[in-house]
Amino acid sequence: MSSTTATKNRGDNLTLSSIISSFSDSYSKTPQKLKIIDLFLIYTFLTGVFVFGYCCLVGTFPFNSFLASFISCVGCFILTVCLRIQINPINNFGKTISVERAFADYLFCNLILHLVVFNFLG
Amino acid sequence: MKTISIFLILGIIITVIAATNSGISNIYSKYDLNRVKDYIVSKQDSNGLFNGELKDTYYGVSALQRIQETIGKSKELCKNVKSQLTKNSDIESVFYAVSILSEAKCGGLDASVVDIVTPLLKTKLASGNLIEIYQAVNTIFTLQTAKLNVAIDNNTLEAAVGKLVSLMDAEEGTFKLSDSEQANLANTGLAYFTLARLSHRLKSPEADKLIAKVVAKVGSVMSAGDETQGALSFGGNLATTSSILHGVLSLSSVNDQITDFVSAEQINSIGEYLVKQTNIESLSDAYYLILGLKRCQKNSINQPLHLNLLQTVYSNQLDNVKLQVQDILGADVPSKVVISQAVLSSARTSPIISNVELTSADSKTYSVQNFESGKFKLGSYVFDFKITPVDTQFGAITVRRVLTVSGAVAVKDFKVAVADTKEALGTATSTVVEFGKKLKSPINANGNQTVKFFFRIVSNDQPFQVKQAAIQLYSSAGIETVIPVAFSVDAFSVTLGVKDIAKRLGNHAGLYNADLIIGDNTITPIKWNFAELQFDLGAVEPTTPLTRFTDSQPITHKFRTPEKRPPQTISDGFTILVLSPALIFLLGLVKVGINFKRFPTNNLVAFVSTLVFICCICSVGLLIVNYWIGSTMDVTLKNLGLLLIPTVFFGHQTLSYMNQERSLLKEKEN
Repeated sequence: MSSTTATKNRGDNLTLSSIISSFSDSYSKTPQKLKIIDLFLIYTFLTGVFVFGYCCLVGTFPFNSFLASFISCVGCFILTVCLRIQINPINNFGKTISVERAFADYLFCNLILHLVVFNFLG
Repeated sequence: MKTISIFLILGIIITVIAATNSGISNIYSKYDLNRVKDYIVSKQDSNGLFNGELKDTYYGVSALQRIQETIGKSKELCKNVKSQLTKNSDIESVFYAVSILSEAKCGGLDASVVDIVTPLLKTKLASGNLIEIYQAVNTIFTLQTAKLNVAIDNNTLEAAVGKLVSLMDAEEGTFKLSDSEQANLANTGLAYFTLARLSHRLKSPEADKLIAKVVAKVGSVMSAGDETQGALSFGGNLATTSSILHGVLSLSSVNDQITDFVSAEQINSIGEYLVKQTNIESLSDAYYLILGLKRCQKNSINQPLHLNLLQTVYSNQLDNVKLQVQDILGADVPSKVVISQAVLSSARTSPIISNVELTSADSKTYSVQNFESGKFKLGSYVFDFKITPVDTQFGAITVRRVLTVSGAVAVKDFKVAVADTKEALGTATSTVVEFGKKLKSPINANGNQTVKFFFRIVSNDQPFQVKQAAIQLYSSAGIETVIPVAFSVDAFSVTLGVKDIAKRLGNHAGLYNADLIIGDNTITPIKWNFAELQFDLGAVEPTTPLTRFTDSQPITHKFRTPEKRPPQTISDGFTILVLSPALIFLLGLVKVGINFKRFPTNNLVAFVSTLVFICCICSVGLLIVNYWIGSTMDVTLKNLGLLLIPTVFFGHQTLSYMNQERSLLKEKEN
């Protein structure tokens, strides 16, 4: 009888609004710089989606420009995710890689990425 | 039978003419020889060796020695070669080292060297391949030339002769490197030279008998050469050609029979090949070139000669014939020079002069005394020279050269006559045109009439026959024709019906300009617009005129069709859509809050560094935009490279400062 009640309570807790509220509570504890990174991730993700949507719906011309923008979005997204992983205190990278070092790496990798990207610019 | 005999005689005559020795077309100039010398010298290292190798040093030293050039860095060279001689015990190194020490006059060859190398020489003479025997024999003779006693008896040397002759291909006369290998021309020259040296030393009837077998096959070897444009080469390379020449000429000094198989013309043709070798790419080539040239200059079969005319084109009058007789390296060769005959190139049957001897006060420049220059007017003349060297060892050569007398000509008695018939032209009034001027009014002619052009060409008031004379008619509409004019007796003339001219012009009536065109290699060309001709052709239907130029089809270009583009509104819509995440990002930043707390405001150096670092990053972004707008990859990469220097420097400064600050903050919190 008691196990049936526990299952029911758990079911009540897993409503959409409770998930959002739980996520919101947890996310509010996230450091500010991670939030800014998340914002940037959303920005690159959406840009990539719109560029890809244009390519699918309207046309690939100019194809090299499409490649440049899409590679730039995907590359930036991946590199930013890596930066986020490295500077997130939960992941405990701080002992081996400092925040500044992670940021310097990020900048360097972005430079290399965009050296490739601007070969495709129309 | 009679016909066959005539053909046979003609064949013999043609063969004799073809085989006539006509000397070499040029000499190997001092300029080219200096270039070869400079090339050799440039290959010498600071330690005296050439390219750091004994082999190349041998080629370099031997080549310089043969052109009497001093060898630089001789102290270092001798020291290094001596040390190589004591270090290396193979026959190749010993041969090169001993030869270099001898050629460079190092004076390091003594009994101790002989003691070291004698066992090696004996082994190679008994069981070596062709090149090893060549190297061993030459090492022995070099040591003996240095007055050293090499304990190798004549029996060993005779056995080496036998071994070498056994390596000869019985059919072709070429030599194998060893019994198991194929015979080739490259080995043949070395074998000839070695056999010649051995024969000279041994003076043994048995050895000479064996060498006679080799000599009997020299003709076959010589016929294996490639002759193109009078230049004879072997194996298509300089080393083999020069080596065979050297070998054959060395053999000729020990066996007189060689002249039965090697002709003076062949030596001449090899000389012709050598003078064309002006592009040297290795020390080996330089050595073989100089060896070949020197052997051509001095040998017992033939000395290739070159007739150098000091002037071939004369202005207005042929004053005298001046020439030099030179050997392959440009040295003067005292000779008897005779002009066998000189004929006008356009009338070769009647000689203008014949058997005229040229004399020289200094045996350098030859000229004709009391030259009859008046006989040589404007034109090209073919001169046949017979050159007989004073040194009776060599035969005469016959050289043919063309001399040209150039100058100006004038047109005289230029007349144009128009009549109703050809017969009536004789009585019709001619229009005379003065050379250089143009008739004021056009000459009229209708389709039933005949036109005659008549003129003389004179040089110094003497009739002159030019190679090309023509009348060109052309209209402003671009219709044109050229009518050749023939020479007869002492004048040029052409008679044509207007119908025939009209046919050339596609029956297009109207006004035509008339030019006289005169051309010849001895004169300045003339193009003289003398008149205008008005053709009235009646009611003839015009056709396409005859033209020198074929009709060309119009050029059509095919361009790639541009890809279909979306409507402007859709493009703009998507541009806004793609930019919209930036707005979300900015609004998000406002909501999250931008953190400037750690911007270093209390430390001036860190503040400046951070500011410059941010500026640098922005500049990199701008650089990429600039590339996108219109710059080139080359310029962008150069600028990026420059920009990265301050970026890395100030970035390091900024991030180090921030790291320290963060560590201090942590310590305070703890």
